[in-house]
Amino acid sequence: MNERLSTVPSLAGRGDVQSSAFQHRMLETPEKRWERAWVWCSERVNPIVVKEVRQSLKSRQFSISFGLTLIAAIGWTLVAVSMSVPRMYYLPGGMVLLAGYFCILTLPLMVIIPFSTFRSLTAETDDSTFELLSISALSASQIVYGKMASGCVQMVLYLSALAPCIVLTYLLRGVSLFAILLALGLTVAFSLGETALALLFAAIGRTRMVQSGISVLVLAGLMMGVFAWLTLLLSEALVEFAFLPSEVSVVLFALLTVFALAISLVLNAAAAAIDFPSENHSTPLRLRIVALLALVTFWSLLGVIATREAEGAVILLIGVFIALMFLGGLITGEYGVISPRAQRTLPKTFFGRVFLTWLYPGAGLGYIFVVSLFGGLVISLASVELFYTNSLNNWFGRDSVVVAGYLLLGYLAFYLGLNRLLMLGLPKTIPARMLGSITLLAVMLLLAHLIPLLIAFYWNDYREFDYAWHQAFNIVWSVNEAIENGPLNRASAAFSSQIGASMLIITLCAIVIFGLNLVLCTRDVLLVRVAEPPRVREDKLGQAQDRPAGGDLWQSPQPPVVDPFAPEDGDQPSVT
Amino acid sequence: MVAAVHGDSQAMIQLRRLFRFFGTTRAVQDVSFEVQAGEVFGYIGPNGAGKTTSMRILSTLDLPDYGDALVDGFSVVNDPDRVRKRLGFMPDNFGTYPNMNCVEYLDFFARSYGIIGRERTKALRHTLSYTGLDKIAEKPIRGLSKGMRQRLCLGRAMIHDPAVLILDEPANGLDPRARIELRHMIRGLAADGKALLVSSHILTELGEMCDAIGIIERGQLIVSGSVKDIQARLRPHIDVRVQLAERGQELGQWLEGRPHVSEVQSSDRVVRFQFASSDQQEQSGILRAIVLADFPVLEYSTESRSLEDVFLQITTGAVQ
Repeated sequence: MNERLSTVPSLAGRGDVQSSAFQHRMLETPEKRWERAWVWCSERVNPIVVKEVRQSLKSRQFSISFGLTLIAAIGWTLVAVSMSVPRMYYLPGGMVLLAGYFCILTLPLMVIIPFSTFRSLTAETDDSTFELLSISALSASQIVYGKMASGCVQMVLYLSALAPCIVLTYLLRGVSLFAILLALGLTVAFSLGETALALLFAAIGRTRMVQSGISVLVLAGLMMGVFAWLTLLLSEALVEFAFLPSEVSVVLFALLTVFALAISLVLNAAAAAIDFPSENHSTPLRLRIVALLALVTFWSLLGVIATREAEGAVILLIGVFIALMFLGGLITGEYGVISPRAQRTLPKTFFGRVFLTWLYPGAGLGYIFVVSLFGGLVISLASVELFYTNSLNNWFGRDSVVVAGYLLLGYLAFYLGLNRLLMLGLPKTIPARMLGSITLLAVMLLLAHLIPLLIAFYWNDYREFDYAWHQAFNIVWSVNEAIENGPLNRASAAFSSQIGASMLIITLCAIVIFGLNLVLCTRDVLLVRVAEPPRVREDKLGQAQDRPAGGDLWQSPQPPVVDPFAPEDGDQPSVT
Repeated sequence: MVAAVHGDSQAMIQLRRLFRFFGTTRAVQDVSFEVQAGEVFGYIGPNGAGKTTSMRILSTLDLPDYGDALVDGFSVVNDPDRVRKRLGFMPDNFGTYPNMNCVEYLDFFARSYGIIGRERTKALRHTLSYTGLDKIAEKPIRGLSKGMRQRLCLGRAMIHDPAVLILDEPANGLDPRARIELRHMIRGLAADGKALLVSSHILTELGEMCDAIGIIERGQLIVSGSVKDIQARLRPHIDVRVQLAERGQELGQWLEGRPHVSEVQSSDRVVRFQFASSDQQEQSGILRAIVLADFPVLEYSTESRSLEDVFLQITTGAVQ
């Protein structure tokens, strides 16, 4: 189609561009087969990766950091080897050398690469190139995953540069291959996690002032991360890796799957932050949250059944409760509406609408989603506890999963629901609405814990007092009380009536708040799928015709030649 | 790249009652206009009038608070992905990547639009030649002059051969020769069937290259239509100046009371009057009558109004 460009003069005023004898290596087809294969591959790679690699290879920052890493590795090899001669001929010396290499490697992997990836995204805003990227055909996910992939390419370069040195440590004995691979794998995993988080932070801060603040925090976090990991690795982990039982491979695999899904969630959240507002970001994110929680629950249940120890289930419940409380705090502050574009994909069937509508944007739908998700987790864990009730050991006491789960579900439904109702009273267009929502939730939780405590202190003349029903809104004390002296705990019933009353209060409050929220999001639930505009349908049908398979975009018929220098008739250039 | 042919009457750019507020500032309020395929639409207005905001909404960089904009029939609010494939936007301030040369920059954007293989090679070759960047293809972008950067950005906007081009101050920073070339190129692109929305402060240039214009001030579209229509609408009469060898006063008296003639001012050799008819037969009739009445006419001229005059008459210069 761009043959048509040749019909108008070039900006340089030379007319026919076809006659240009312009040659460039990037515009030529390579002669060698491997070069052609390389070009073929590069064209199917994310364009961001190609751009970032090109830029990195020319950048001073990469040259300096890569060069310094190599020099440090060679320097450490020479120093360590010369210091351990002649001991190294009869004593294993690999561990000392490996510790040094890890010190050298973790700095680029856990600081330089995550921070340069963070800067790579923030620089798009600084250099005013982000808008150009936004209006290209690249999706937000492609941009974020491209940045992540370019970070991975850098990781591979650093690892391959240090690989010969690390092989040397194995040859010097004193360290097992499993320990080396595990330490390397964990370092790479931490680096990937940090890079994904750095991208999320870069996506959230879009103004320069916010970015400056975030960049300081990110850098400080990365430095602390590398310090903590090196301390752990060098003090104990590197030695203990050699003595890990074989079952650890199952745990590592479980962690790997959870980690991969968590990174995917973080990257999608980053993509959602930079994407066009009318896009439906909620559904893919919420689906990933469901998948992540399902995976964590699966591995936890497997662990509980395999080990017959149920403490892990209680800890998981509490951990997920905290995570969902935070997430729910953000979601209930969301000013999400189901845009006409999102309405085109709403579920059509009755069951689809019952189960999938909660994945769509909106604070009300999000609230129901979070509570239902936690409810699902509680039911799963409680079922396992009740099914294996006689064969499970639990340090927290029997039925603690059921009691804690029930109570935590009530708290989640109550506090998040109340937060959502309070947020409804605020103007819809206030800035930083989600941040405001999480702050409101934090203040509400603080007050709900402090006020009953202070009143009780006053009533008891500032002396120590026992748990009573008026502490029902105190999550920490109530859950602790329920686990230790809950009504299902047949061994002790000393305070069963008090915690029983609290559970009743929380249940009633949660039901009322949940019901109110459910009624208030009826409008979103009743939305039905809208048909695609005719032009979109037309485009979908015609897309294949735009570019026929094997066709050549530039071989369109030659249009009439326009001579801009010919005498003009009115405002229209003449056509010859 | 993506064909724009889907109906003869469908405008390529449609703004439908567009509103955009920034706090209490009404950046764009109730702006509606259309640009057809093959048309160059000049978007004129003082600084802060709302031109760039409207263009950013059209380019899917911003969302309207109310109303919608369509590009090739696709809503910028609901189908931004489809709009982007059909649109090339050249912003007023645009960024470039460090450590990149011109051909790498264009290559990246060609890949970003999904152009691969021979198509990409051809697109790059054509765009580089077309924008005159082929001689400096390997030159680092940071070493380019403002004009060259403008060309590069224009090349980026048209690398995927979009059906619609939105150019925000494209002549900014170009030397006179490059401006003339740009003007010809814009006309050429329009002749190629593309719809162009161009904003500029250089009104004389817009007057020469645009088929239609829209004048916006304080977020409101004050007037839109073809340049000639607007001129005619703003001043329904034409100013006539007659230079004579002698008998100027006499011609003045002769003209008084004739149909469509008013505001007659005469001296010995020059007579000025207003002729309130757009009918060309009547316009030529008055000249014929003067000559037939034996007045020694040396020169007969009508004074047309430039786009600058129109702009100054319509706008108040108020800012918000």
